[in-house]
Amino acid sequence: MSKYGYIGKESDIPQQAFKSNAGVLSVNEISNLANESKWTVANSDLVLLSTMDFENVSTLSVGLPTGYDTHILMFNEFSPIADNTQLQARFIINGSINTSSKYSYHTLRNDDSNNTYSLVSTTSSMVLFNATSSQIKYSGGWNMMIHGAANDTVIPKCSWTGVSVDANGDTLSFDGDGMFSDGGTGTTPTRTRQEAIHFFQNSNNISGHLKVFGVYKP
Amino acid sequence: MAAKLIQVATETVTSAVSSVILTGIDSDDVYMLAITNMDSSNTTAGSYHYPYIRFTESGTPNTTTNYHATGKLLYSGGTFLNIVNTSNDDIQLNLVHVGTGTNQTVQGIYYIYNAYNSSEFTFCTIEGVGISSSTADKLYGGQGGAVLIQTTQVDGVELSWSSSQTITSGTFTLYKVI
Repeated sequence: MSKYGYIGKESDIPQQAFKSNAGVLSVNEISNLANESKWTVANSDLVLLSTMDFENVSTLSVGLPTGYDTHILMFNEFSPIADNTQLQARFIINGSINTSSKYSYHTLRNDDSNNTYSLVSTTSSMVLFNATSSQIKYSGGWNMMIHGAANDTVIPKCSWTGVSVDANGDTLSFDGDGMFSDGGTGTTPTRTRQEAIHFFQNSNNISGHLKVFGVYKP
Repeated sequence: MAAKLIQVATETVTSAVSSVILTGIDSDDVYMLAITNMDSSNTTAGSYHYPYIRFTESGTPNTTTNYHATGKLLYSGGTFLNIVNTSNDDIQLNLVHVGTGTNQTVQGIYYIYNAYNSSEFTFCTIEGVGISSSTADKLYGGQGGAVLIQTTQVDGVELSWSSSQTITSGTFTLYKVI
């Protein structure tokens, strides 16, 4: 049999370790090794820190562990439950949500009716992610990068891109009102370790799936 | 747990082909498509054409007019432009490629969401850059998103050029994010 790039009896197959051998691994074998915590991480690797499946929740707090310069959040099947809502976020410091009016952001939205929406603030108590809240959005997915959150000497910064369509609540549909692409940046001038990021809507709840990755600190 | 970008398909073009198809999407994970040095058979300076993407189902490109896209085209020679495509039979990757010279190619990273889930639309975000050169090198960057308004199980992507141009070179790689 062939397993982990080696042919022979299973008892003869060596333990896989980073750069310790030249076995040729299939995609599924690497996936299996990762799932069994047998795939050793190099200093430049992404590390999967957590996964979250959330259904009809009002808030979502996502931990940002130390040891990583950058955290990457990947959402898919993300959806607000009700109409006319807007996603927002704050950081958590020392166990408390930072509600000071010191957040800055610029968020930009394009739609397929050739409209552009933009929201900017330097004195907000939160970061806003979508530049309009007048329509229901069913988001296909979005990525967010948070830089410097685990470092108590730098100012945390985040950026994001996403794509979504109009929908009827959290029921998938395309009602002809269009689709949207979003991008933006946000920060708060606090040179303190940010333990987590806290997502919430201006009203009602959200559902979706999330993977959180860390980029190893060199 | 260690996380990886797992390569599920790759193709390097060294002689002209009409399109490239990459398959291997077989889970509900997020996938990432990387395009490097995509060049075309264009030999007419100043003629505009664009790279296109379609999603595949069982390896066959979906050619229905159910693709929508929107985003910003950032241009070093002037102001930005809005890119809007509605009910197209493909996704214009928001990048202009005009040049006929060396290194006038297109690069990009595209994240694909909900592709394998047959109960969801398939989405992707678009980030790319290209160079044109009718009189002088000009840089185009694209940022946006697209959606296939169909609840089908997508297993890959097809890449091509507009105006029946062929792909003369480039490396195209599809990764699974685990």
